[in-house]
Amino acid sequence: MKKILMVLLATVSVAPLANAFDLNDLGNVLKQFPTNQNTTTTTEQPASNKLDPATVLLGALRQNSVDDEVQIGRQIAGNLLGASPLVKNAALQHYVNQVGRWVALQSERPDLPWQFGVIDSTDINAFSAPGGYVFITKGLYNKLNNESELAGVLGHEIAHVVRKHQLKILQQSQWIGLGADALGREVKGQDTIQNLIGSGAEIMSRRLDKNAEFEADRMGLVLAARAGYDAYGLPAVLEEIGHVAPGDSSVALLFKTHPAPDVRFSMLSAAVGDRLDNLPPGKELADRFHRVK
Amino acid sequence: MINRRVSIALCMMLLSGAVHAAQNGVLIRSEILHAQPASSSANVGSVAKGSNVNVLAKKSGWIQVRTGTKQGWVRILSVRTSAAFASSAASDIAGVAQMATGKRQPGQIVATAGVRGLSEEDLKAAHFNEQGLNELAGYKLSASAAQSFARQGKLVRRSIPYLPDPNAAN
Repeated sequence: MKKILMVLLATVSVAPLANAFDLNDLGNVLKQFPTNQNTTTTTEQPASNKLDPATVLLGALRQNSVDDEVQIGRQIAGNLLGASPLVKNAALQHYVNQVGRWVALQSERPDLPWQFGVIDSTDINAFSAPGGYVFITKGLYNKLNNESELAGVLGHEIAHVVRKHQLKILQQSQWIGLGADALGREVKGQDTIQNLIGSGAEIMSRRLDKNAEFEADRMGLVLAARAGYDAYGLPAVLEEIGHVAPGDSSVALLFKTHPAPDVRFSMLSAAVGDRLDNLPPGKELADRFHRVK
Repeated sequence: MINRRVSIALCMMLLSGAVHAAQNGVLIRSEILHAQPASSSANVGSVAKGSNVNVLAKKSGWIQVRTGTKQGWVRILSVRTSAAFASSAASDIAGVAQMATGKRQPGQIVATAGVRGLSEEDLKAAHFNEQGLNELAGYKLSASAAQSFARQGKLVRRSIPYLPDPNAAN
């Protein structure tokens, strides 16, 4: 499942991009990012009060600047909710936030403003955006059998946020800088972010490097296990998804953006090996799982 | 191809907590067969990668399989199962109902009233939904609320390192 971004159509016209976001070597991309800079955040604007998207992105990528990251994520999340709003079910949304927040607490970024939502789509998918926004579709939610499976799915998305995978893919964007010099944060901060993200939620249909997905699987499994859940929730979901006919439209985007479920399962199998043999059994909590049918 | 009756029967078995003896699987790596669902238990044979097995039971990280005359427990991640073991009932029935209307062809768009799409086109055309974000923010929880929820479920925090990339050069 997955990550990503979006935005309503920016006021700028964007060149159609065939494969601009296909990252085939995230590893090299990662080396380009500042990781331990004790620089000031981008909230300190130059006197001209101009802000360009690339600056925002670099600020978001810095370890000590969460504000820009959350702002980028908020724009992306707001657009995803434009495509597919939250399911109108307060008890369900509360429950998913309880599970998600608990799993996120096991990560290296426990204090992000984590927010979780079930979106009203029959598609089978999950998404995340920078700063702690995580979504699961009703279609995928209804395939789950217990709380540990939900924890595994959310753990995968949490991992994308923790590792800033979406921000790193944005860095590849050819859109960065479009119309930037005419924008100031005070007045048009949202437009700035939109320009950074590009055209609509289209970016959500771009795939991350497959190794980023495998990493998110490995981390998601561990985060759920750290939280006290049965460690095998995520692989069970991968099996479940693997049983959906590949031609089924409900998995079209998921299969376009992720390695095949059986490959992901095999990679998890290889990564786990005998490492969890002595782990005491975790909980599945099928009885507490909030079912919506 | 599952038919509706079988699916409902499976769901009923699931809801009654019955073990499904009908599920098959294939070993994605060679494994030792253990007498019990624990690596410390007796070795009662082995099963090679690619072997087809019948799945008898699952238990926290372990899966009991039978192949020919041999039977034992192997790690659950060593077996890829061939059919839904425990699909959630209602969604499955809905899926079966859709299947009953005809086989889907790859790439075929299935139009269903009220479905909100999340295709590439849908995402591209999305408009910023501030109200939705406000709604989302209303569900945001504190760490202490999450901890309380975990205690209610008797979830115990454990210290487990992240798993290394199996393909990374050591």
